[in-house]
Amino acid sequence: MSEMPPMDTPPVSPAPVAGLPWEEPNAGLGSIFPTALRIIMSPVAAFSQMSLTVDLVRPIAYFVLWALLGACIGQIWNFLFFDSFVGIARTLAGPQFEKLAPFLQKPGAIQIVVGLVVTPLIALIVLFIWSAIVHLMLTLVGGANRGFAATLRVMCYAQTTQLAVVLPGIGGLIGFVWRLILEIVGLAQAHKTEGWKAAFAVVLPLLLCCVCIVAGAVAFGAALAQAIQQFK
Amino acid sequence: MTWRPPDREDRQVAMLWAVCASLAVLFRPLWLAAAGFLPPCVWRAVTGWPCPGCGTTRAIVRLLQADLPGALALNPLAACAAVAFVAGGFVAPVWLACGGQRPHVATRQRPAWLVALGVAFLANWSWLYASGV
Repeated sequence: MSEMPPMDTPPVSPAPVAGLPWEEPNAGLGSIFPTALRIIMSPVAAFSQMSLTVDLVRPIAYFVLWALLGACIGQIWNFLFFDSFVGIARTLAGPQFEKLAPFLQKPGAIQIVVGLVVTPLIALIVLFIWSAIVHLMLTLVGGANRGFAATLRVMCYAQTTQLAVVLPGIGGLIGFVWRLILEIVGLAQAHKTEGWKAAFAVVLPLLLCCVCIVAGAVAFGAALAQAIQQFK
Repeated sequence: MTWRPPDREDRQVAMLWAVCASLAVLFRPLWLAAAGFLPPCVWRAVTGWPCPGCGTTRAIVRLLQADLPGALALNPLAACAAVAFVAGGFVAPVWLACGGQRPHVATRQRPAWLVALGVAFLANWSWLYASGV
């Protein structure tokens, strides 16, 4: 009796990595909300689940969608509470307000549309530059155990904090702080590095030009809005 | 610095870089318009000393007006970084598409890079202080 030939067994495939809902192969637009919920409710688990191999287009699309959503909500608040914002600016600026007054005009339909188109594109430029700065800092402290793309992915998913702009006025500030926290958590998970190294990479660039960057970021947003209005 | 063959992710990053660099050039009128609304440096107003980023806005404006020497005089590091950002964005995807390799900083080379960056940063800041930007 001849020996039985060995049975062909299929090669053992590696266990699939459970990514975020947004990263699933056939994920639609609807998966943006379960992904955001996961990042909000348990950021450590979400960033440790984040795929480091899925196409970069996915996290970038997630970033752009949230930037667009944030811009939409921001424009709505700007339209509804414009007079209140001007009142606050008048109180804060004091006698200097007269210099600003000619530039403070309620946005029209064209300015809103231009703003909605331009804002996510500018956010994309900022995303790339900020990711590069943070990755450079992380490399300097020896915490960049993965490539630039891992940093970029974290920054994309940290854009979930745009949700904070649903709070008029202070939403931007809350979102900024929340974003820094998410970035630190995400970098620590994605690069498998210590939290202090991630915190150093995120906070140091801000500390280097602390006053300038914070003041500049606030002023730049306002300046850009005024510049867009001039394009009508 | 060493060189290694690019992977799919490197090509995607290069493409994103190209998109961002193109957008940065495309939005030239917007940057020029927005620059006029920016307030002066708060750090300098308080301390009297230039901050490491002082002159960046003016340097970018000079670059957008194709005045490279003027930009370098205002903030050399910021001007070089801006030029590298735009030029790299256009070169990187073409370089990789032509079979070029990507640069890689090995772990043992990091201290040297750290020192070089630190020196560049301090030299730039000293220049800003000395030139009274």
